[in-house]
Amino acid sequence: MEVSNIRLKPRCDYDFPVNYQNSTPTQGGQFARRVYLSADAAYNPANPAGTAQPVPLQRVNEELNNLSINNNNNAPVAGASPFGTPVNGVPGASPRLTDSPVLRPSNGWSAPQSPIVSQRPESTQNSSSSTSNHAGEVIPLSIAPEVQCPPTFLRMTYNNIPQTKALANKSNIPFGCIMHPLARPQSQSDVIPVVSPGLCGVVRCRRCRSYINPFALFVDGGRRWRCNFCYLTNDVPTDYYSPLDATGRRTDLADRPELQRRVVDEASPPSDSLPEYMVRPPQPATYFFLIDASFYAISSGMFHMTIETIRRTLDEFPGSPRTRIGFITFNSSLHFYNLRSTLSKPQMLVVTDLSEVFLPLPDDLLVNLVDSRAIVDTLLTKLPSMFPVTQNVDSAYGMALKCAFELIKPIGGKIISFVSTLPSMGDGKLPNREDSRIVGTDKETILFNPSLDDKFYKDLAMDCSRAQISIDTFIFSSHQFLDVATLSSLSQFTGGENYFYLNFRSDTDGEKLFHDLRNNILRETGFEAVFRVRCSKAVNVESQYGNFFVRSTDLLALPNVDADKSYAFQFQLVDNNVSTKYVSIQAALLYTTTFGERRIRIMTQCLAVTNSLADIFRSSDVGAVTTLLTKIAVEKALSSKLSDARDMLVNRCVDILTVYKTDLASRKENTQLLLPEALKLLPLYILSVTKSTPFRLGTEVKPDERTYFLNLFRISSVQNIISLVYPTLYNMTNLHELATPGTEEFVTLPNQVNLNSEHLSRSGMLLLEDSQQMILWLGRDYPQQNMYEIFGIPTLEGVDLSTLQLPQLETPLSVKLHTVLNAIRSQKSVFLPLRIVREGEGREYLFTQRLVEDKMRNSTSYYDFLVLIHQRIQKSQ
Amino acid sequence: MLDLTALFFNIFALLADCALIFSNVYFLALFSDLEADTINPIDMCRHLNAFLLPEIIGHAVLSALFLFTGRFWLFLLNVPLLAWHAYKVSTKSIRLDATQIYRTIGKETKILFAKLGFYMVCFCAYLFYLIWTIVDE
Repeated sequence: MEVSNIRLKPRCDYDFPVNYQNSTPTQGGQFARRVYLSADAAYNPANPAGTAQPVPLQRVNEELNNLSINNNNNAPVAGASPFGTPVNGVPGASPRLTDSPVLRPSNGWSAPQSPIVSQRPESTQNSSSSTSNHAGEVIPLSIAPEVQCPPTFLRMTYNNIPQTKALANKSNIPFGCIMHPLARPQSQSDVIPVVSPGLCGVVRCRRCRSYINPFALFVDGGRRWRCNFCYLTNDVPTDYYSPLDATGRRTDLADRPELQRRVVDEASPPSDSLPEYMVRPPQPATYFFLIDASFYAISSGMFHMTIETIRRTLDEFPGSPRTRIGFITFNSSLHFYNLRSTLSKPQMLVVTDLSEVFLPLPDDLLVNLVDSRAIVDTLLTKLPSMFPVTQNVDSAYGMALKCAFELIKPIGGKIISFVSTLPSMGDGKLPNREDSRIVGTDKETILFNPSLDDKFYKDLAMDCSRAQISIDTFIFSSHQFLDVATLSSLSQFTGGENYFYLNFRSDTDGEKLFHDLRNNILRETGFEAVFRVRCSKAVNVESQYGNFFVRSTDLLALPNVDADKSYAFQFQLVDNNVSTKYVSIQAALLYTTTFGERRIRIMTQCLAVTNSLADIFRSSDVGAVTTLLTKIAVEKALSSKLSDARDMLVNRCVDILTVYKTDLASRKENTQLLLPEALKLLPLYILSVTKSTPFRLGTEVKPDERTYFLNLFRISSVQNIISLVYPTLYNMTNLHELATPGTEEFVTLPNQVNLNSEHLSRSGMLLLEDSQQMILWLGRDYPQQNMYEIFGIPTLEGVDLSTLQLPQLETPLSVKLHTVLNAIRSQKSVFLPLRIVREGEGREYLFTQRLVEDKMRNSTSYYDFLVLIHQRIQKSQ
Repeated sequence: MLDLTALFFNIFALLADCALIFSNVYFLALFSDLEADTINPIDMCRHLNAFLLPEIIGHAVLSALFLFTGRFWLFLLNVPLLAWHAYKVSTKSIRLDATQIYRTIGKETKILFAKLGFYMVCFCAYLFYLIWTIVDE
């Protein structure tokens, strides 16, 4: 087993602060990007709110301020129009967005506009008269206008509330948001303050149970506060009282983060005083590993790699000293391990009778990690040699799951299972239902959905959800159908996650498994969580997207919640006409931290109601719109068929642009393709989604892989989805000219270029990154000298690139390349393995299929897509 | 003698229909409990799923009895619901899914109301048939 080249240092993103800033676009029309590796160096105290991307955000705000409501022809993007003044001149050339040379913002999110900007005129007007007690006149008073809702945690599809249902439907833009409650902080402003409750506990509205937030209005000299959700006037608890100053703000505002920040963590009060936040003492962090030990698991190296990773991570398990851990391995029989701390070496207990759940030693199979540290270590050191190559191809996975469930049921926690064989014995046995005749047809949908005959996995998922157990499944496929859909229903309803490795080999994929598993264990995790979204009366949640179980109308049960899960919500207006000026949305996640503290993460957003379509278009966020549409498309693909999902995406895009053109364009007779400024990337992103792995036409994507990606899209954040569908492409041809990489302070990343083949040159080198992997593409005539500097050999002719590892050499070029790769990796939460492809080589399709602006088999180019959209808009007018 | 059997059979049909009506009312009560958040969707679905198949079997047996005893009009009356049940069985979608219940709650309630209406109509028909049998005698 080759593990020597694996980095053991935790990557920077675990302790967060990698800050990166855009330098201004250069004349050459390309972004140079700097990645600051030291957070302090980049932190700009003058602008604490928007450190993540200060320059563009400010610019957007200025633009917004300068625009009046009537000025609704907000800059159709001439450059994107194939029928306006052609930028490239040559018909057929890929259109470029002139004012935005690199098509997407460099860190994946397009600066969402702060609703505060549109609110500002009104709030300043009203702040003096804010004590007049008109219902519905609650205005954001205690919050400073410059405070932004960090887009890392919450992104609305548009930052306004339509006044009427007709307006909401007319815009065709889905009305919703994407929430990422435990997101990794991306900048200084994303660090969440923890508020410890006073004697009065957490202050909440007594009618609607919403939490106190910056938009609550203090009246009556500070003795009472008005809830911004139901407008009930509540008494301020005595311990929470503070007098108001002349402007009506509380005098203790500076000490109250919950009244200033839109995202806060409230530590819940101890259970004896207020039992409403817990029904039992907070659980310890509990990890139970179920490891497949059948033929393929052993022979592919998955078993050994997994054991080795767990062993190396033992010291870092979160929740020490209360952490609990246990192991079961399985093939045609189940193997339990007695890890009692008083033993000198672990005992293995083999159970071959699979007719009923039998736990040989219920007390010693799940042990405290600190007490049994030595014996766990011995077990993990010995396990690989206890399973030499076996001919056992059976798997009693269902039974193993049941045993694990019984073991950790009283505590709750996380079951991490590793599956490489279709369960073939005992309960939970799955038939191979792959039918090559239906792959690629509309009937394929049944393979993306859990088997209709299966009751075992879904029922187990329900039981787990109730017992606060979450199941993460690592699935290793050897070109054989593994029924990812049925297995993943376990994760889907327990708030877990799936990992999928197609044709796993420990020498090439081992590093990814190592980092995935480590990230799974070490990332910020909340146990026994519930998530609830409350809205003002005018709005309610129409549907939710993500991995959870809906326990009551608006309560999502999340046995585990972690930094990689995001949840999308689609809203609808309840009334035909919203009578208030503002609408508030509050999401509250109640969870237990790994160190056993009960906390509530509260995210509050307050948005202005508008009756203008222009406002909605102007304040929309293309990343969030694309993400929500993608999540809707995933549901569509599962409930009906893939082609319907693709059609839905394109139709929605056409509808949105049609409305913009018919209602907002200044000159109706304009025959150009008009794109709203905020949504000018929508056609590109929609095209990219239809070309992405799960939605792509054709049969080269296996049903299992499609299912995995559909599930991944369901839980991914905006940033990840955009990166998955529209990867970042770096032009590395002039890597040797890149300024001073390798110095301690910052790394300049190479230029980003559009995803089309224009940039492929025979002597070039390009790097593509899609938040799952990186692909290094080398031109046929890439200079021998450079090749030698990077790979240590003059040519890659005849070298098997699928197994080639990038060597770490002392040459300047190699050092630069590794610096760049590490800088890119440090920005991502998941490990990005590097694949190397050469022009003209068989595996080049891995790279070329991601060039979404190009024409591919079965799909159109970006240019043709714009033409198509334009024709459809013209037709529908 | 033959008439007495017919009489008993008609009374039996009436009682069976009452049982179906009551089971549907019970299902509706469970749904309203779910909407009022007084029952957990997992419990609710487990509870309901236990009754769904017996209901289908009961209705199918009753219809079969109509057919075999030569009451073709009554059998024909039951054909639409039989077809609906056959469709549910063939698509393996009899059981309610606790994970999807909040999405389908509106649809399922409508179906239950429609079925309840249907059983009511059947009740009237059976009653009419019973009276007719007595009067005819």
